[in-house]
Amino acid sequence: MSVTDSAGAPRRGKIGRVINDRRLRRSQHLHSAVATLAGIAGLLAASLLAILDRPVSALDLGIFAGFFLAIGLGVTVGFHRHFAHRAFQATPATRAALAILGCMAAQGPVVFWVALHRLHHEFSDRPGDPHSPNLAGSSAFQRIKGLLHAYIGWTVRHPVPNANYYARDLLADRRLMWINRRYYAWIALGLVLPAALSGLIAQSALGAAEGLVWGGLIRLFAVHNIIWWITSLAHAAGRRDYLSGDRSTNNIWIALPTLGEGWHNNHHGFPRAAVLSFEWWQIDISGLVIRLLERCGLAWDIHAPTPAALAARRRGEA
Amino acid sequence: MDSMMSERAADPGAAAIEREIAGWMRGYLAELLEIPLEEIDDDTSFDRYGLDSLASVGMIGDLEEWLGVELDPVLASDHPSIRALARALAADERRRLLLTRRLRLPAASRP
Repeated sequence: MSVTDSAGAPRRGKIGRVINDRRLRRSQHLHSAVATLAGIAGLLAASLLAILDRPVSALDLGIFAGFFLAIGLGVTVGFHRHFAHRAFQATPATRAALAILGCMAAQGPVVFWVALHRLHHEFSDRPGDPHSPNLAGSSAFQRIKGLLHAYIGWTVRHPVPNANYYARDLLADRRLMWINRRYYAWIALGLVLPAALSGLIAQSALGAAEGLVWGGLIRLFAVHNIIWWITSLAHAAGRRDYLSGDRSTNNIWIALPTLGEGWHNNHHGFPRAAVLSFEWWQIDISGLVIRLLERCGLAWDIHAPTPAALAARRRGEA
Repeated sequence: MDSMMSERAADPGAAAIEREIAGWMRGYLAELLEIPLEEIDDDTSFDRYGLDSLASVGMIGDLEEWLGVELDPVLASDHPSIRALARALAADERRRLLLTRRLRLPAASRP
Protein backbone atom coordinates (compact mmCIF):
# COMPACT_ATOMS: atom_id res chain seq x y z
CA MET A 1 0.00 0.00 0.00
CA SER A 2 1.42 3.35 -0.95
CA VAL A 3 1.44 6.21 1.47
CA THR A 4 -0.90 9.03 0.54
CA ASP A 5 -1.70 12.19 2.40
CA SER A 6 -5.25 13.28 3.01
CA ALA A 7 -5.41 15.48 -0.07
CA GLY A 8 -5.39 12.11 -1.87
CA ALA A 9 -2.08 12.37 -3.69
CA PRO A 10 1.07 10.34 -3.10
CA ARG A 11 3.31 11.88 -0.48
CA ARG A 12 6.64 12.99 -1.81
CA GLY A 13 8.50 13.02 1.47
CA LYS A 14 7.99 13.93 5.08
CA ILE A 15 6.22 17.22 4.29
CA GLY A 16 2.48 16.70 3.88
CA ARG A 17 0.10 18.84 1.86
CA VAL A 18 -2.39 19.34 4.65
CA ILE A 19 -2.30 19.39 8.44
CA ASN A 20 -4.77 16.98 9.98
CA ASP A 21 -5.31 18.72 13.27
CA ARG A 22 -8.89 19.00 14.47
CA ARG A 23 -8.27 22.09 16.59
CA LEU A 24 -6.50 23.98 13.81
CA ARG A 25 -9.27 23.11 11.40
CA ARG A 26 -11.93 24.17 13.87
CA SER A 27 -10.29 27.51 14.60
CA GLN A 28 -9.91 28.29 10.88
CA HIS A 29 -13.53 27.42 10.23
CA LEU A 30 -14.66 29.52 13.18
CA HIS A 31 -12.71 32.43 11.67
CA SER A 32 -14.61 32.00 8.37
CA ALA A 33 -17.96 31.87 10.12
CA VAL A 34 -17.24 35.00 12.20
CA ALA A 35 -16.14 36.96 9.10
CA THR A 36 -19.28 35.92 7.21
CA LEU A 37 -21.57 36.76 10.13
CA ALA A 38 -19.84 40.15 10.58
CA GLY A 39 -20.62 40.93 6.94
CA ILE A 40 -24.27 39.96 7.35
CA ALA A 41 -24.46 42.00 10.57
CA GLY A 42 -23.16 44.95 8.52
CA LEU A 43 -25.99 44.56 6.01
CA LEU A 44 -28.55 44.50 8.85
CA ALA A 45 -26.94 47.52 10.52
CA ALA A 46 -26.99 49.44 7.23
CA SER A 47 -30.69 48.67 6.79
CA LEU A 48 -31.42 49.84 10.33
CA LEU A 49 -29.41 53.04 9.85
CA ALA A 50 -31.22 53.72 6.58
CA ILE A 51 -34.66 53.22 8.15
CA LEU A 52 -34.09 54.95 11.48
CA ASP A 53 -31.85 57.75 10.39
CA ARG A 54 -31.48 58.70 6.76
CA PRO A 55 -31.30 56.98 3.40
CA VAL A 56 -27.96 55.65 2.15
CA SER A 57 -25.82 58.62 1.15
CA ALA A 58 -23.40 59.14 -1.71
CA LEU A 59 -20.65 59.24 0.92
CA ASP A 60 -21.60 55.73 2.11
CA LEU A 61 -21.46 54.36 -1.41
CA GLY A 62 -18.22 56.19 -2.15
CA ILE A 63 -16.55 54.83 0.98
CA PHE A 64 -17.81 51.34 0.09
CA ALA A 65 -16.54 51.58 -3.50
CA GLY A 66 -13.13 52.93 -2.50
CA PHE A 67 -12.42 50.28 0.11
CA PHE A 68 -13.96 47.49 -2.00
CA LEU A 69 -11.61 48.40 -4.84
CA ALA A 70 -8.47 48.82 -2.70
CA ILE A 71 -8.96 45.69 -0.59
CA GLY A 72 -10.36 43.65 -3.50
CA LEU A 73 -7.21 44.49 -5.47
CA GLY A 74 -5.14 43.48 -2.43
CA VAL A 75 -6.66 40.02 -2.87
CA THR A 76 -6.70 39.76 -6.68
CA VAL A 77 -3.50 41.61 -7.63
CA GLY A 78 -1.66 40.87 -4.38
CA PHE A 79 -2.62 37.55 -2.78
CA HIS A 80 -3.66 35.90 -6.02
CA ARG A 81 -1.57 37.03 -8.97
CA HIS A 82 1.57 38.25 -7.21
CA PHE A 83 1.99 36.03 -4.13
CA ALA A 84 0.23 32.79 -5.17
CA HIS A 85 1.22 32.71 -8.86
CA ARG A 86 4.28 35.00 -8.98
CA ALA A 87 2.80 36.48 -12.15
CA PHE A 88 4.90 39.63 -11.80
CA GLN A 89 7.68 41.07 -9.66
CA ALA A 90 7.17 44.15 -7.48
CA THR A 91 9.12 46.49 -5.20
CA PRO A 92 9.21 45.59 -1.48
CA ALA A 93 6.91 48.52 -0.63
CA THR A 94 4.39 47.44 -3.27
CA ARG A 95 4.49 43.86 -1.98
CA ALA A 96 3.93 45.09 1.56
CA ALA A 97 1.02 47.32 0.54
CA LEU A 98 -0.62 44.50 -1.42
CA ALA A 99 -0.15 42.03 1.44
CA ILE A 100 -1.63 44.44 4.02
CA LEU A 101 -4.61 45.32 1.81
CA GLY A 102 -5.21 41.63 1.14
CA CYS A 103 -5.12 40.80 4.87
CA MET A 104 -7.83 43.43 5.44
CA ALA A 105 -10.21 41.21 3.43
CA ALA A 106 -10.29 38.78 6.39
CA GLN A 107 -9.93 35.76 4.12
CA GLY A 108 -6.95 34.48 6.08
CA PRO A 109 -3.35 35.70 6.35
CA VAL A 110 -1.40 35.87 3.08
CA VAL A 111 0.52 32.61 3.68
CA PHE A 112 -2.68 30.64 4.39
CA TRP A 113 -4.50 32.16 1.40
CA VAL A 114 -1.64 31.40 -0.96
CA ALA A 115 -1.18 27.84 0.36
CA LEU A 116 -4.89 27.02 0.01
CA HIS A 117 -4.98 28.52 -3.46
CA ARG A 118 -1.98 26.52 -4.65
CA LEU A 119 -3.68 23.41 -3.22
CA HIS A 120 -6.77 24.33 -5.28
CA HIS A 121 -4.73 24.56 -8.49
CA GLU A 122 -2.99 21.24 -7.83
CA PHE A 123 -6.31 19.37 -7.59
CA SER A 124 -8.64 21.71 -9.49
CA ASP A 125 -12.05 19.97 -9.83
CA ARG A 126 -10.58 16.65 -8.69
CA PRO A 127 -10.78 15.07 -5.22
CA GLY A 128 -8.59 17.18 -2.94
CA ASP A 129 -9.77 20.52 -4.39
CA PRO A 130 -10.95 22.50 -1.35
CA HIS A 131 -13.68 24.27 -3.30
CA SER A 132 -14.97 22.55 -6.43
CA PRO A 133 -18.68 22.59 -7.37
CA ASN A 134 -18.16 19.51 -9.53
CA LEU A 135 -17.48 16.72 -7.05
CA ALA A 136 -20.88 16.14 -5.47
CA GLY A 137 -22.42 14.15 -8.33
CA SER A 138 -24.41 14.83 -11.48
CA SER A 139 -28.09 14.78 -10.49
CA ALA A 140 -29.83 18.17 -10.23
CA PHE A 141 -29.83 17.92 -6.44
CA GLN A 142 -26.14 17.00 -6.34
CA ARG A 143 -25.29 19.88 -8.71
CA ILE A 144 -26.96 22.34 -6.34
CA LYS A 145 -25.26 20.72 -3.37
CA GLY A 146 -21.90 21.04 -5.14
CA LEU A 147 -22.51 24.70 -5.94
CA LEU A 148 -23.50 25.48 -2.36
CA HIS A 149 -20.36 23.74 -1.11
CA ALA A 150 -18.13 25.66 -3.56
CA TYR A 151 -19.88 28.93 -2.72
CA ILE A 152 -19.85 28.98 1.05
CA GLY A 153 -19.85 25.46 2.52
CA TRP A 154 -16.13 25.02 1.85
CA THR A 155 -15.28 27.97 4.10
CA VAL A 156 -16.17 25.84 7.13
CA ARG A 157 -14.98 22.50 5.73
CA HIS A 158 -11.66 23.10 4.00
CA PRO A 159 -8.46 21.32 5.05
CA VAL A 160 -5.61 23.22 6.70
CA PRO A 161 -2.94 23.58 4.02
CA ASN A 162 0.64 23.00 5.12
CA ALA A 163 2.62 26.18 4.47
CA ASN A 164 5.84 24.16 4.54
CA TYR A 165 4.60 22.31 1.46
CA TYR A 166 2.81 25.04 -0.44
CA ALA A 167 4.30 28.39 0.59
CA ARG A 168 7.95 27.86 1.49
CA ASP A 169 8.90 30.85 -0.70
CA LEU A 170 6.75 33.13 1.44
CA LEU A 171 7.94 31.70 4.77
CA ALA A 172 11.47 32.71 3.79
CA ASP A 173 10.44 36.35 3.32
CA ARG A 174 10.96 37.99 6.72
CA ARG A 175 9.21 41.23 5.81
CA LEU A 176 6.16 39.41 4.53
CA MET A 177 6.04 37.19 7.62
CA TRP A 178 6.07 40.33 9.78
CA ILE A 179 2.90 41.41 7.99
CA ASN A 180 1.44 37.88 8.11
CA ARG A 181 1.84 37.73 11.90
CA ARG A 182 -0.11 40.96 12.34
CA TYR A 183 -3.10 39.70 10.35
CA TYR A 184 -5.74 40.68 12.92
CA ALA A 185 -4.30 44.18 13.22
CA TRP A 186 -4.76 44.65 9.46
CA ILE A 187 -8.35 43.46 9.67
CA ALA A 188 -8.95 46.01 12.44
CA LEU A 189 -7.26 48.72 10.38
CA GLY A 190 -9.56 47.84 7.48
CA LEU A 191 -12.52 48.58 9.73
CA VAL A 192 -11.09 51.66 11.49
CA LEU A 193 -9.90 53.45 8.33
CA PRO A 194 -13.29 53.72 6.57
CA ALA A 195 -14.93 54.69 9.88
CA ALA A 196 -12.37 57.44 10.50
CA LEU A 197 -12.49 58.71 6.93
CA SER A 198 -16.27 58.80 6.80
CA GLY A 199 -16.49 60.36 10.27
CA LEU A 200 -14.05 63.10 9.23
CA ILE A 201 -15.89 63.89 6.02
CA ALA A 202 -19.35 63.82 7.63
CA GLN A 203 -18.06 65.53 10.79
CA SER A 204 -20.20 63.26 12.95
CA ALA A 205 -20.14 60.06 14.97
CA LEU A 206 -23.00 58.76 12.87
CA GLY A 207 -20.86 59.31 9.80
CA ALA A 208 -18.15 57.18 11.42
CA ALA A 209 -20.68 54.43 12.14
CA GLU A 210 -21.85 54.51 8.53
CA GLY A 211 -18.25 54.33 7.33
CA LEU A 212 -17.64 51.27 9.54
CA VAL A 213 -20.75 49.60 8.17
CA TRP A 214 -20.27 50.44 4.48
CA GLY A 215 -16.49 50.58 4.06
CA GLY A 216 -15.86 47.91 6.70
CA LEU A 217 -18.53 45.25 7.14
CA ILE A 218 -20.51 45.41 3.89
CA ARG A 219 -17.26 45.75 1.96
CA LEU A 220 -15.96 42.64 3.79
CA PHE A 221 -19.11 40.73 2.79
CA ALA A 222 -18.87 41.93 -0.82
CA VAL A 223 -15.21 40.92 -1.23
CA HIS A 224 -16.01 37.52 0.29
CA ASN A 225 -18.88 37.09 -2.16
CA ILE A 226 -16.88 37.90 -5.29
CA ILE A 227 -14.34 35.26 -4.27
CA TRP A 228 -17.20 32.79 -3.72
CA TRP A 229 -18.55 33.50 -7.22
CA ILE A 230 -15.19 32.43 -8.55
CA THR A 231 -14.87 29.30 -6.40
CA SER A 232 -18.37 28.16 -7.44
CA LEU A 233 -19.84 29.72 -10.59
CA ALA A 234 -16.50 30.15 -12.38
CA HIS A 235 -16.07 26.37 -12.23
CA ALA A 236 -19.62 25.65 -13.38
CA ALA A 237 -21.24 28.10 -15.84
CA GLY A 238 -19.80 29.88 -18.86
CA ARG A 239 -17.36 29.45 -21.74
CA ARG A 240 -14.32 27.23 -21.73
CA ASP A 241 -12.01 28.77 -24.31
CA TYR A 242 -8.75 27.06 -23.30
CA LEU A 243 -7.65 23.57 -22.30
CA SER A 244 -7.12 23.85 -18.57
CA GLY A 245 -7.60 20.29 -17.32
CA ASP A 246 -10.54 21.32 -15.16
CA ARG A 247 -14.05 22.83 -15.36
CA SER A 248 -13.04 26.51 -15.03
CA THR A 249 -15.01 29.03 -17.10
CA ASN A 250 -14.97 32.57 -18.52
CA ASN A 251 -17.84 34.98 -17.81
CA ILE A 252 -17.89 38.72 -18.44
CA TRP A 253 -20.61 39.23 -15.84
CA ILE A 254 -18.42 37.60 -13.22
CA ALA A 255 -15.25 39.25 -14.52
CA LEU A 256 -16.50 42.82 -13.98
CA PRO A 257 -17.36 42.68 -10.25
CA THR A 258 -14.48 40.29 -9.48
CA LEU A 259 -11.97 42.83 -10.82
CA GLY A 260 -11.06 40.52 -13.71
CA GLU A 261 -10.86 37.17 -11.94
CA GLY A 262 -13.96 35.95 -13.78
CA TRP A 263 -11.73 35.16 -16.79
CA HIS A 264 -11.16 32.06 -14.78
CA ASN A 265 -10.72 29.61 -17.64
CA ASN A 266 -8.02 31.91 -19.01
CA HIS A 267 -6.45 31.83 -15.54
CA HIS A 268 -6.48 28.03 -15.17
CA GLY A 269 -5.21 27.65 -18.73
CA PHE A 270 -2.34 30.06 -18.02
CA PRO A 271 -1.93 30.32 -14.23
CA ARG A 272 1.14 32.54 -14.42
CA ALA A 273 -0.45 35.14 -16.68
CA ALA A 274 -0.54 38.49 -14.86
CA VAL A 275 -3.17 39.96 -17.17
CA LEU A 276 -6.19 37.72 -17.80
CA SER A 277 -7.56 39.70 -20.71
CA PHE A 278 -6.66 37.65 -23.80
CA GLU A 279 -9.12 39.52 -26.08
CA TRP A 280 -9.58 43.27 -26.40
CA TRP A 281 -13.10 43.02 -24.98
CA GLN A 282 -12.13 40.92 -21.96
CA ILE A 283 -12.05 43.62 -19.29
CA ASP A 284 -9.63 42.79 -16.47
CA ILE A 285 -9.44 45.59 -13.92
CA SER A 286 -6.70 43.84 -11.91
CA GLY A 287 -4.67 43.41 -15.09
CA LEU A 288 -5.04 47.12 -15.83
CA VAL A 289 -3.79 47.93 -12.33
CA ILE A 290 -0.76 45.65 -12.84
CA ARG A 291 0.00 47.48 -16.11
CA LEU A 292 -0.34 50.77 -14.24
CA LEU A 293 2.08 49.56 -11.53
CA GLU A 294 4.48 48.62 -14.33
CA ARG A 295 4.11 52.08 -15.88
CA CYS A 296 5.02 53.61 -12.49
CA GLY A 297 8.09 51.38 -12.16
CA LEU A 298 6.61 49.48 -9.20
CA ALA A 299 6.15 46.16 -11.04
CA TRP A 300 8.10 44.32 -13.74
CA ASP A 301 8.53 40.84 -15.27
CA ILE A 302 4.85 40.78 -16.16
CA HIS A 303 4.20 37.19 -17.25
CA ALA A 304 2.11 36.86 -20.40
CA PRO A 305 1.50 33.82 -22.61
CA THR A 306 2.84 34.12 -26.16
CA PRO A 307 0.34 34.09 -29.06
CA ALA A 308 1.67 30.64 -29.97
CA ALA A 309 1.04 29.33 -26.45
CA LEU A 310 -2.47 30.75 -26.53
CA ALA A 311 -3.18 29.17 -29.91
CA ALA A 312 -1.83 25.79 -28.75
CA ARG A 313 -4.23 25.58 -25.82
CA ARG A 314 -7.22 27.08 -27.60
CA ARG A 315 -10.20 24.72 -27.69
CA GLY A 316 -11.95 24.07 -30.98
CA GLU A 317 -15.18 26.02 -31.36
CA ALA A 318 -17.90 23.81 -29.94
CA MET B 1 25.49 15.31 29.23
CA ASP B 2 25.70 13.44 32.52
CA SER B 3 22.07 14.01 33.29
CA MET B 4 21.18 12.83 29.80
CA MET B 5 23.10 9.60 30.24
CA SER B 6 21.51 8.86 33.56
CA GLU B 7 18.08 9.59 32.11
CA ARG B 8 18.68 7.16 29.31
CA ALA B 9 19.95 4.55 31.68
CA ALA B 10 16.85 5.06 33.79
CA ASP B 11 14.47 4.60 30.87
CA PRO B 12 15.74 2.97 27.70
CA GLY B 13 12.22 3.13 26.24
CA ALA B 14 12.17 6.91 26.42
CA ALA B 15 15.67 7.12 24.96
CA ALA B 16 14.63 5.02 21.96
CA ILE B 17 11.58 7.19 21.34
CA GLU B 18 13.69 10.32 21.62
CA ARG B 19 16.20 8.90 19.13
CA GLU B 20 13.52 7.94 16.59
CA ILE B 21 11.75 11.28 16.77
CA ALA B 22 15.00 13.24 16.54
CA GLY B 23 15.97 11.19 13.49
CA TRP B 24 12.66 11.93 11.79
CA MET B 25 12.96 15.63 12.56
CA ARG B 26 16.48 15.84 11.16
CA GLY B 27 15.15 14.36 7.93
CA TYR B 28 12.22 16.78 7.96
CA LEU B 29 14.37 19.89 8.38
CA ALA B 30 16.83 18.66 5.75
CA GLU B 31 13.95 18.21 3.30
CA LEU B 32 12.29 21.50 4.21
CA LEU B 33 15.44 23.62 4.13
CA GLU B 34 17.04 21.67 1.29
CA ILE B 35 20.31 21.21 3.16
CA PRO B 36 22.32 18.01 3.77
CA LEU B 37 21.24 15.85 6.70
CA GLU B 38 24.68 16.13 8.31
CA GLU B 39 24.26 19.88 8.67
CA ILE B 40 21.22 19.55 10.89
CA ASP B 41 22.08 20.10 14.54
CA ASP B 42 19.86 18.82 17.35
CA ASP B 43 20.48 21.81 19.61
CA THR B 44 20.07 24.65 17.11
CA SER B 45 16.75 26.38 17.68
CA PHE B 46 14.02 26.09 15.06
CA ASP B 47 14.06 29.86 14.99
CA ARG B 48 17.71 29.88 13.92
CA TYR B 49 16.77 27.54 11.09
CA GLY B 50 14.31 30.19 9.92
CA LEU B 51 11.16 28.37 10.99
CA ASP B 52 8.57 30.86 12.14
CA SER B 53 5.48 29.81 14.09
CA LEU B 54 3.55 28.84 10.96
CA ALA B 55 6.34 26.60 9.68
CA SER B 56 6.67 24.93 13.07
CA VAL B 57 2.91 24.35 13.20
CA GLY B 58 3.24 22.66 9.80
CA MET B 59 6.14 20.57 11.09
CA ILE B 60 4.20 19.48 14.19
CA GLY B 61 1.26 18.62 11.90
CA ASP B 62 3.48 16.35 9.82
CA LEU B 63 5.03 14.83 12.95
CA GLU B 64 1.50 14.18 14.21
CA GLU B 65 0.67 12.42 10.95
CA TRP B 66 3.80 10.27 11.16
CA LEU B 67 3.34 9.33 14.81
CA GLY B 68 -0.41 8.89 14.54
CA VAL B 69 -1.00 10.74 17.80
CA GLU B 70 -2.50 14.16 18.39
CA LEU B 71 0.02 16.82 19.38
CA ASP B 72 -0.33 20.41 20.49
CA PRO B 73 0.22 22.55 17.34
CA VAL B 74 2.36 25.05 19.27
CA LEU B 75 4.58 22.35 20.81
CA ALA B 76 7.62 23.62 18.93
CA SER B 77 7.48 27.03 20.60
CA ASP B 78 7.66 25.43 24.03
CA HIS B 79 10.42 23.03 22.99
CA PRO B 80 12.33 24.96 20.34
CA SER B 81 14.98 22.49 19.15
CA ILE B 82 15.10 18.93 17.86
CA ARG B 83 16.55 17.62 21.12
CA ALA B 84 14.13 19.57 23.32
CA LEU B 85 11.09 18.53 21.33
CA ALA B 86 12.07 14.87 20.99
CA ARG B 87 12.84 14.69 24.70
CA ALA B 88 9.57 16.37 25.68
CA LEU B 89 7.61 13.87 23.61
CA ALA B 90 9.54 10.92 25.02
CA ALA B 91 9.10 12.21 28.56
CA ASP B 92 5.33 12.01 28.45
CA GLU B 93 4.67 8.73 30.26
CA ARG B 94 1.03 8.44 29.21
CA ARG B 95 2.08 8.59 25.60
CA ARG B 96 5.16 6.41 25.86
CA LEU B 97 3.46 3.07 25.42
CA LEU B 98 1.52 4.31 22.39
CA LEU B 99 4.64 5.79 20.79
CA THR B 100 6.63 2.64 21.49
CA ARG B 101 4.02 0.68 19.57
CA ARG B 102 3.68 3.22 16.73
CA LEU B 103 7.43 3.42 16.23
CA ARG B 104 7.66 -0.40 16.41
CA LEU B 105 10.27 -0.17 19.15
CA PRO B 106 11.08 -3.06 21.46
CA ALA B 107 8.99 -2.96 24.64
CA ALA B 108 10.16 -0.44 27.22
CA SER B 109 11.12 -3.05 29.80
CA ARG B 110 13.90 -4.37 27.58
CA PRO B 111 17.27 -2.62 27.80
